[in-house]
Amino acid sequence: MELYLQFAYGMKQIAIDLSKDWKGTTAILSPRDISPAQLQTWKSGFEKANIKMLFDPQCYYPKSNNKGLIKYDYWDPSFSTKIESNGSFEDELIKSILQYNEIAETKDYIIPAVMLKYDNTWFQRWYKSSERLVNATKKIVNGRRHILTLALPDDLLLQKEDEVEKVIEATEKFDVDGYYIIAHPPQDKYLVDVPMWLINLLQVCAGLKLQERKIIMGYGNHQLLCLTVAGVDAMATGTYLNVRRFTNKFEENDSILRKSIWYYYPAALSEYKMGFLDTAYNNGVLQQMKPVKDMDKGYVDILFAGAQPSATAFKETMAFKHYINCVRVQTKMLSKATYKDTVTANEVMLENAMRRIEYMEKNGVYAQARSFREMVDVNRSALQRLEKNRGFQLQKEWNNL
Amino acid sequence: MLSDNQIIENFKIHEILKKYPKSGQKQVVLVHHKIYGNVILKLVEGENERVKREIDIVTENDFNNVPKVLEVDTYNVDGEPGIYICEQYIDGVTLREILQEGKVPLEKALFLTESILKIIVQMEEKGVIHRDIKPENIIKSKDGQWYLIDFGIARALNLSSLTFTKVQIGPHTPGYGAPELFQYSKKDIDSRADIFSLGVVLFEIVTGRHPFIRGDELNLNEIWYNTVTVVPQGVVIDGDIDMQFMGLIQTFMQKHITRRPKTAVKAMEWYISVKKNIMEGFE
Repeated sequence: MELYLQFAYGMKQIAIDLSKDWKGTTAILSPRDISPAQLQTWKSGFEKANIKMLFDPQCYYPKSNNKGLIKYDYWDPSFSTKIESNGSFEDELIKSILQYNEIAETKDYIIPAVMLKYDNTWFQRWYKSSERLVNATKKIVNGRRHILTLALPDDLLLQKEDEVEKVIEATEKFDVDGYYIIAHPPQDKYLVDVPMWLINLLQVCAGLKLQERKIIMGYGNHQLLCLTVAGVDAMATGTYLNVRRFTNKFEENDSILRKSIWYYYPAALSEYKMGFLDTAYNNGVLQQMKPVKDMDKGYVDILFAGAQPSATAFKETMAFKHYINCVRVQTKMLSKATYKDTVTANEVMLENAMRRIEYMEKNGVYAQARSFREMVDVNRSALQRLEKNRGFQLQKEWNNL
Repeated sequence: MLSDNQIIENFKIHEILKKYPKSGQKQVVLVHHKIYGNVILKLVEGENERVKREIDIVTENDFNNVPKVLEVDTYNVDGEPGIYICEQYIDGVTLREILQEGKVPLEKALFLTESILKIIVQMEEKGVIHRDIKPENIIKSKDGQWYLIDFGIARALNLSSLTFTKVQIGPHTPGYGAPELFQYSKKDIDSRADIFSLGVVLFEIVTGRHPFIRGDELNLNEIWYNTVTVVPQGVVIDGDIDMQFMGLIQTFMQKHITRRPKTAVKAMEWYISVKKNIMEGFE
């Protein structure tokens, strides 16, 4: 699994810096955060930094009228009603989005989708709108891979597995090269403590991957490192929480005011505030939280230089770069040559995370709301369920995924 | 229903050797034919589209390890019209009869798997689904080859369904038919339905028990309910290294079609890989 950057407010320089450090990356551009004019002017900077681009049209909530989105030609506040009406609307929409793909010189064309509210008509509405958009894309978009957005509402992912299987079965009929999966977490949670949600998400990813499609998971975070066992091609993550999990609360750029800086301790899969890093410092365990060599790009050196963390000039940008880089290394570490080895690597990582969380807590160092403690079992449960349902298939098809 | 004398006199028959239980409008007998020797004679009363379909499927496709149709025609015996089919007789025993003797050991089960999968692969190429794979329809000939018989409810995907559109349940044998045959997507079925049935047969022969039928079911609904709800637990089979063969069987028997091999060709690939691992373990 590769790590892509999910673009967010203020990420331009971070993306360029990371791409330089990594010798290239892929970013999923966010029209909410980049104006059409910026898209044109930033393009060359991204190209120089070896950033490949994807354009996510972000049509999830047509009535949101986000002030960034309405600057784009394709944005139409009546999108939600039109998407269920006539055929030519889809043609126009796909054509209009294509021009931005051409500016960004994308290789994959992300076909938009609405995050339809789940009820007993969801399946039919989703299928019809997806079918129309796929048909329009087939007519209009040539020379790019067609990646259909699969927008999964939280209520769907909390249903019994049969409901999710219907979606997987239906996707067999869509003639697309891949899927861009957007999964709304229950109650907008950053880390999801509901096993069913993750079980179903993992089933969807594996089911689609076994159809030999390219799968990109959007708006991900370290909890979704487990998607490595489904052979997912890429997961995108970013700086602020609004790009590390999908939410319908489109925060306006100027409203993102950070109250705290969080440091990601990768071995514990948890993030800690400065106050608790100070506790770690005082209790002599801070150095144990230092990233291992493979994850150490120097972004957080200042924290471990000997001074009390809160007294250092550790900045949010450093924390962001460190988080994204660590998750990237972790995706690589977990992506193994066989399905069994990938499962084992995930299990070991979870076991180790639990031990590190407990050890830190014994030393008075708590991750509070960003502790992975409750999530360890959720992830284990999802791995186990995948093994039962699709383990044999994944084992046999691993090299063809 | 025709009498023994009517059969002997009207269909070039020397002798009736065995009578099979009558099923609906179909009468099936093993006979000694004056031209073909021992053959299966099927007599179907009246006009029957499903029988015509069965004949078309078998004659047009010439599948290996499926009995050949030697002669087909209509008849009218004493005012009783119908269709007769003279079919190759496979001299052997059904898998059901073998099963009555006890479980089938791994090596033999592997050969059976390969033989039936080869037939499903051929059917898949021609767009045919058997829909009735079960121990009664699998015969082991005297020379040790496995045959699949009775295409009576087979479906040719390029032809329209013979079941009324409003009928939600497609033809199948409860306990062996895949959930999609009786649940919701009759029109969307493919060879994965046959793979499911093969999985049930394999589970039954290697464990000695049916995964969904305990024997105390009061009605078909219970069997259908078991088919969609019971997840058969893996059983250790002698020689099945890392339970690979059991894993294959369980995957064939998955309730949801996307959890089974995508095609019969894929199922065969997985089978070959499992067999290789098991054989390497023996060495």
